[in-house]
Amino acid sequence: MNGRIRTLGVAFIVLYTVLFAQLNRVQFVDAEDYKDHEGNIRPQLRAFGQERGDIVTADGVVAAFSVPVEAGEIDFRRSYPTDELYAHVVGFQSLNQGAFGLEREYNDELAGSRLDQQFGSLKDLFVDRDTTGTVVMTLRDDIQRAAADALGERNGSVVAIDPATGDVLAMWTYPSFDPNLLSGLDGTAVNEAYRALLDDPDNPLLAKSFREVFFPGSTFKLVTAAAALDLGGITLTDPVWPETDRYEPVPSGSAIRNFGGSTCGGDLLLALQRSCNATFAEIGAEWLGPDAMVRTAEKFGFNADPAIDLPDAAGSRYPTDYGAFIAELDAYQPDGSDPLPNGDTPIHENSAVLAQTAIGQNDVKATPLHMAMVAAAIANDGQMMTPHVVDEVRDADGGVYERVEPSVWRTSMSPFAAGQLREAMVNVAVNGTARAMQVEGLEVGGKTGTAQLGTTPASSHAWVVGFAGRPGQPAEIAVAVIVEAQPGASEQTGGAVAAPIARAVIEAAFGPG
Amino acid sequence: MTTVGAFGAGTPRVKQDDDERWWFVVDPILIACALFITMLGIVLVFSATRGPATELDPADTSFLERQAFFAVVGVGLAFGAALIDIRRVRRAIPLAYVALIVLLVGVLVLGVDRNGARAWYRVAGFTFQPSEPGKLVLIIALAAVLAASAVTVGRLLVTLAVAGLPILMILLQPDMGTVLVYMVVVAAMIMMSEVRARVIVLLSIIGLTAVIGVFQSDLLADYQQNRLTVFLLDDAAVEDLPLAVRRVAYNAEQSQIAIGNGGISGQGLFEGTQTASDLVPFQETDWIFSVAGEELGFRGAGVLLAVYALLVFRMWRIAVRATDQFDRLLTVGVMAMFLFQIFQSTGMAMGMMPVTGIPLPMVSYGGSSMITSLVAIGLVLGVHRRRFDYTERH
Repeated sequence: MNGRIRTLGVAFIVLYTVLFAQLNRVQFVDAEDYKDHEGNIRPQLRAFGQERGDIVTADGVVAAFSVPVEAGEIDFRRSYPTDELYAHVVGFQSLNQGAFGLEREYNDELAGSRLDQQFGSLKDLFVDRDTTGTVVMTLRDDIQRAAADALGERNGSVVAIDPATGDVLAMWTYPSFDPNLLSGLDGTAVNEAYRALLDDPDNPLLAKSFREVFFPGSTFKLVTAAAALDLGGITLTDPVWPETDRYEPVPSGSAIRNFGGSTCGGDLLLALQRSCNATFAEIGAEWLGPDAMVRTAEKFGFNADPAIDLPDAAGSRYPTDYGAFIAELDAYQPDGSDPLPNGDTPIHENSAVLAQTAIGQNDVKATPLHMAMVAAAIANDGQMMTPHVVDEVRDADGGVYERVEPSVWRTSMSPFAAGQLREAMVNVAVNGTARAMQVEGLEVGGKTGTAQLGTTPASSHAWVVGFAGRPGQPAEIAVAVIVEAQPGASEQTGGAVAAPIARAVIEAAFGPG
Repeated sequence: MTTVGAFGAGTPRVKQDDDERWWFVVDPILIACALFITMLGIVLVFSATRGPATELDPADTSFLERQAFFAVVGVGLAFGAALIDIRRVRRAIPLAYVALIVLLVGVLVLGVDRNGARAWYRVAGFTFQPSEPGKLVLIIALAAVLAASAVTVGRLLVTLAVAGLPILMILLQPDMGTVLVYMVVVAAMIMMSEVRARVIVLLSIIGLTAVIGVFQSDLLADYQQNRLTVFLLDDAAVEDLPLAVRRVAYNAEQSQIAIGNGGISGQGLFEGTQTASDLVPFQETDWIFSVAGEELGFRGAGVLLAVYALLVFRMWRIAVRATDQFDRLLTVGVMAMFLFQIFQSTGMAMGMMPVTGIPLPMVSYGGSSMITSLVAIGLVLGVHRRRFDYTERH
């Protein structure tokens, strides 16, 4: 008995030693890790109760400002007068859920806590100077509203960019959320609202415009066309592919068919106008090969860390592994008697997959923002500008504290190929699948896409990308629209569903008249 | 009889009148520890529930008032428990046991659901959890069954039957945390009884096999199993689990962040960020240690753990000195209950124990737990008081 009760005493000592060891670990050894943990909201909290600068659109609409409150140590809370319209860009500042979007990315500038912002106030140390910064976005309220109105209550995203500068003019995803629900002082209510948003199957907290990737479908044919023009020895009018209803891959693999079993072909101009799967599959697999396709996709920013001045952006993907090299294309000629102009194209084990990725299928994934950047690069002579949502930060006196200068992110293609592609896209908007985005008095180019999701029942993402400018002038806006999971799956879907939204955005950008 | 320490009962002696002096009769250290923890607990519960107090919206004191009320009732009942000689009311034990079983059956039918378990009665604005005082009923009942000079297999089977019935009822609620407390208490009491060593080994093997068997079988729903094992996983693995389990992992993570941010000296009472922002759910009950860790830091949380250690040590000391097997087993049962609840509740908050809700004795908010813990200490104080009575009655 005595021995056993002593065992109990030993067990007690051992358990307590473990407890104290763990208390030491959590509060001494690993304390720094916990301080840096993303779930730790103390830095936000320190900033929460202070006054912060406004966040305004390029045309002066206030999207976020600080309201004075009287609540203990908290002197201000954030208010978002535009409700859900800019929620995915502006984000929110929450007492207990941290900060998101620009509220997080520009936390220091808004709070005026940067050293140089503080330093300016040293000389008038005894004057209570306002050091907060105002963040001016590139987004324009008229375009953003037009995008939200045109999309309506359909799940999807609309992104508009100024091709020459990378200024994001509109970036909207439906569904969005009301950031005012998350900026309140009642922690319990905020947590309930946050959890309700998390539990919503449509995930309104997620800015799908730049944080979610989708199959780009036929809009990706623009990248394949750029590769064809720059690297494939192909022009808009030569060669001319025969009319066919399918592409049979080399060396083997299942055939790639056209939408609805239709036949198509023709030169690159016509193939793009009709969005011909068979032609583009053949261009990718038999005229370009893996190296040229991957190189071009990466020049367009695929497989790279995304470039946008917002946190948690998603990167677009283009598959890079097509298996081992087998032979040049000529080896597949029946007798080798009639050499192909592209006969030295390397054929790999999985060239059939390359045929799929060349038309934006298989594992090609892109954010709506990125597809707008693709259109913008074509509109901007092949230069893909770094996209940004912040134009400048102003100090309290109205002076410019910091300005975001336009910069080239990627050189995606030659100016010549870009010019050819613009011509082809204008043709698509005049004669092809993107006619519904045509605006009178403007030069509009476009490309539709339909990314099939399933067949029972048939549904697909409806895409359109494009640009618009005054005739003879450089394009002033590039647009990408995706409407998610629309019923039906024909090549017309993108043109019928997404193109009218793009038109509304373009009309808003150029204003009445 | 064996002896440990200066006041040991090695030489059974007839009680002398001058031994009635109060410091012989009570254990002032045990009482001081219990009162300290209780008062600190009330403050922590207030901190966890006061809400974002502002001039317009004053602090919520309803939890504070209720917890203080429970403490006063608990101290009063503990006083009574220390005074009665529990051995003299042995005849009432079967009655109390039957009442417990009735209450446990009744709660499955009449009880209210809370956090997925049907463990509470709601009476006149208060909730009552029968499995809490049930711990004491079981400890007393088992002490009575096991208090023999040799525990036969038959007696052991009675023990297992007596313990198994309430455990089964609580398993049906289902309240995994309380089931664990019951099992630990039963195991400790059997081991401390006069049962042969090889029987203990055999029982351990059977018990271990049963636990593994339960985990391998379908008896536990996936989410229950996940809850118990999620604390072992890293962040990436947690991402793939269902939402309900990720929430559990989230609680554990937020609790650790809170404690980690307390650092050495803490953020200060009522200054805890995680606490004030309602980031740790159930922080006034199961996760109360995170409030102590964040607001009082290593100093405060360390002192709390140290005072608990002293409290448990005093119980152990009383168990060693008890001159009666029933009293000793009673004390061991209470000690095991405290030790396990402290270890599980603080260990869970620090991320080294499974996430299963167990109140931290005398600190977590809740009347059933508070009163049960205090009465348990009263019972142990009674054992201490009676430690010289043994020889007198023989």
